[in-house]
Amino acid sequence: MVAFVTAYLLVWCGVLGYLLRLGARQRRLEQAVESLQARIAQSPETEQATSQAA
Amino acid sequence: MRSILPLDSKLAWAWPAVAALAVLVAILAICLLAPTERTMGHAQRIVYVHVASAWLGLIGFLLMGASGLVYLVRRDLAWDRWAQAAAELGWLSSGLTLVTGSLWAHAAWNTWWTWDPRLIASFVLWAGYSAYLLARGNVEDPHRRARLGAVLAIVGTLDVPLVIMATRWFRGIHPTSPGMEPAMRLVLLASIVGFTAIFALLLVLRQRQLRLEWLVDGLEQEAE
Repeated sequence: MVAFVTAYLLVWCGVLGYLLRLGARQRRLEQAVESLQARIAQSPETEQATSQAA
Repeated sequence: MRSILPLDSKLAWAWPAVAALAVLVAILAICLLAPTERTMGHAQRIVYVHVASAWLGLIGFLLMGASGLVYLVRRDLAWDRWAQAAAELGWLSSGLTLVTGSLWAHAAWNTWWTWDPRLIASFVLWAGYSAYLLARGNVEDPHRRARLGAVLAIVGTLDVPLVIMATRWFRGIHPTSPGMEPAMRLVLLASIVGFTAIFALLLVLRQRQLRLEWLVDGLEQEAE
């Protein structure tokens, strides 16, 4: 019984670990997208285009 | 692929729900439906997860090899992303096969490891995945990385028939094809279906994430 439970716990820990890693990478990607958006918004070309439109 | 796995549409919840349901059915079947084996007792139930993860370890390598081959023909990095996603999940499945097999071996043979041909071939498969992932991690250029990965994956695929046929071609102690009751076979099938559903879901999610990473890298380089 111990071997059976250990094997199943290890398998689900493996799957859960992979899911957590996937989630952490996704959060890092979202941060990278946000910083890219901020950089694009602050760029001189964007400011110029905004003032011309105004 | 998007039409098969509608992760962007209103049915985005359906695929994870089907995968979770398949796994739940498999777990219930393993715990409640599978009969307890006479000599090994509950430890024999390890087989249901061991065989399922071994199957996915082999499928992962075949997917990796096939994606590598298509990349070499088309030079499209999308195929390299499929190969990488398959490699990561195959590495996990292959590793879990070794660990669950070791637990089963300790219960059945009173040893954690023995130099049996099937065990050696399975270890070589896991080592192949590890070498593939390590080699990729050391190459910056995406196309060079994809080419190297494709060659490694195609060469490594040669180990897949060896793993499958090891018990028939060589003499060892690993069971060839254990005689199972119909109920046991049904539970094994449910387990394989459940784990394959989770594997497919994670494969698609990881491939999409790798695509997003590639797009963000490109935009960051443009911004600099």
